[in-house]
Amino acid sequence: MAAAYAASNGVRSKRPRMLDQATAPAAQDVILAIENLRKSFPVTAAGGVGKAALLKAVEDVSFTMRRGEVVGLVGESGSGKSTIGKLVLRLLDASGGRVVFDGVDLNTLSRGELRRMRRRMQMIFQDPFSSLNPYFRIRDILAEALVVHDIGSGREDRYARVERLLELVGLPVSFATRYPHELSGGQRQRVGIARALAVEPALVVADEAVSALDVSNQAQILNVLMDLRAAFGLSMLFISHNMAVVQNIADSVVVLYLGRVMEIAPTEALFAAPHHPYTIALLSSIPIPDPELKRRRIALTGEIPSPIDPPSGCVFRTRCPVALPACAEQVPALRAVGEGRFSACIRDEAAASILA
Amino acid sequence: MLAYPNNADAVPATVTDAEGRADAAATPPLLRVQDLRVEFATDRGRIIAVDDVSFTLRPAQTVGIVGESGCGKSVTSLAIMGLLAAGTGRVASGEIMLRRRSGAWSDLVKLPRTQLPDIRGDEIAMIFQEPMTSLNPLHTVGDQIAEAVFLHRGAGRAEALERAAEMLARVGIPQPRQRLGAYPHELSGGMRQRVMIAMALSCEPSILIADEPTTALDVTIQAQIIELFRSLQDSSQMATLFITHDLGVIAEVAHRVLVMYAGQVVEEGSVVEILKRPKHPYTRGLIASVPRLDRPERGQARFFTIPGQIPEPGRRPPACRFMPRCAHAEVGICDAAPPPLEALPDGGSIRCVKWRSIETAPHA
Repeated sequence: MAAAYAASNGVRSKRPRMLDQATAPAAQDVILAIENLRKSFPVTAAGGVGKAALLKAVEDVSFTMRRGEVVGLVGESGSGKSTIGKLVLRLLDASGGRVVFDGVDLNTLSRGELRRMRRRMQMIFQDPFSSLNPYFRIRDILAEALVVHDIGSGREDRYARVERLLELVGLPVSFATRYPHELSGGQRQRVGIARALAVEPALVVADEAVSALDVSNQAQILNVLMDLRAAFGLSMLFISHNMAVVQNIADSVVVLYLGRVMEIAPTEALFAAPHHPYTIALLSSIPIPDPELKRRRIALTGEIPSPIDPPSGCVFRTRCPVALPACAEQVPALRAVGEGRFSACIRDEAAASILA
Repeated sequence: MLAYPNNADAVPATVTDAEGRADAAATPPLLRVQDLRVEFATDRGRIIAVDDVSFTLRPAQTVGIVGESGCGKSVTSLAIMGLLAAGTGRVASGEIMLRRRSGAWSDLVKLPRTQLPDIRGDEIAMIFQEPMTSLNPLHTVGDQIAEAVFLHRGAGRAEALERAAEMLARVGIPQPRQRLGAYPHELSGGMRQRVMIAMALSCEPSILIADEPTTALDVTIQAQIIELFRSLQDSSQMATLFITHDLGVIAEVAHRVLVMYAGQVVEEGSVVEILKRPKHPYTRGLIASVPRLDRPERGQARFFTIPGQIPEPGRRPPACRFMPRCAHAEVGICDAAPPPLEALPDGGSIRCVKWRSIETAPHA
């Protein structure tokens, strides 16, 4: 279960420790700990004139992932979910906070150490076409991952491993000699998964891994991911805007809005009874393929604000149906609201009853 | 112009269902597509993108077209708009009958190309998935909306801009007068889509074709746009052809649904029949494959999937195109002849010779 994580070393944590020791998982069970993570990007005004500003993509995000757990990272555009995925693999450097993978703070690693660590952390991308080299045959795309991480001895052994990988993701072995353009979107995504798995990672970050696929391919790929998880105990950070997919694949969910955590909860609890007003509104906005189903929709007015100039206090307050003047005053702390559940809202107790 | 005879057109009443959505089955049609076949010339020869597509669109009605990549849903809409790339794509046969403002019928397939601009944007308007690619980045949104009014209505600049401001207000853009001077890049994705809708509706078209209009939007913004579609349809008699791959969106907007697979309509019916009591094995499989909020399948090890892949246009099976992926397929029956689109007693239709025997079977 993902738990909001106050760094055990209180010196680093800016926020007061608000969680029971009892809810924090034992250190050896934790594969990934995100602590007060921040990332901002400098942006210049159009034409390079005017004042440079800071786009705050990720602000003070903390959560943990247990070994073998699938954590869903959800949110709309600008929520910071993809940035967090890149920070976790240190494809981007954080502006603040820490990413602790298997007990090691990634910021402390040298380039060489990081490279060795990457063998244990892999990413599956949204668009399998742009992430596969069009000039390589499938077997060479997969063998390259093995060469880079010095796995296998010689070409024969690596090609044999490639065949096993193809079987693992449900592709015929004959696909080894094909080129990416000869494959459908779903087949290419299977190659993307096979490449991530080639190095036998402990953690996989899947960034919108099924979002570009048609429904029937999407279901096939989700099954591949679920089978692999069952077979290898993969830990996975599953980044998606599709709440229905997350509901089916994740053990727990981190809900983001404008770079901040709104709510963290075990999946079933979150979908059965969302706590934070944003989660309530988000879930009620998702169309369900049943024309006879009567539901209450919490319509959010307005737009997601700019991360360059986010609202003061609670970032959601400008669209929140239950916001009070007090919501503008300070950033609400993420506090425990039930077993394994955390919500960053001073109104969430009222919200659940008002919005229900 | 051709007169289009149809006895069914005699009953004018509009009935509304429990949700207040007009069940326009009783009103005369605005658009009647009959046996449409679209071909493309490619370097691998001629391919048939769409064939045997027929449907009817009535005032105040939304017909949804659903299907996966390559099923022909977008090609169908481009054919209606006369927007198939000249030289490569063409309507090979069939008719697209439009009831004009004058009341006369025109076959858009036979209409000289020079007359199409009079219809496009005026009688039939279209909006696309990505508004940024359909808006001109060099012109203000006010000028772009006004252009449509100017072209089709011959209004002066001041009058056209006045109309543009009115339209921006109608699609829920705050401070519409100030926004007339905004450029597309200054607006969010949701606002751009509202501008596209304002532009499309500025000449009060009788038909709106919306091709994945909410697919690129966040769900909370999508909910706003769907609400906008509904209120606009309530306040006009506009008919909408709504193309989407999202069955949830279809449930919210459509009265009737066409399900397309590999270039053909495989099933047609009311939104309730299609989504609650699907008959075609493909429709059943498609619906069962969608992870949905109201039916979590946690604890189940796997999602339902349709095995195999959608066939490429050049490699479609000769008889039933879904046969290689169908759990109910029977050699000697399903590969004997192309299945016809069979009319059902409830007004729907289905392209499957075995549907009666599989109707009672569990999903797919």
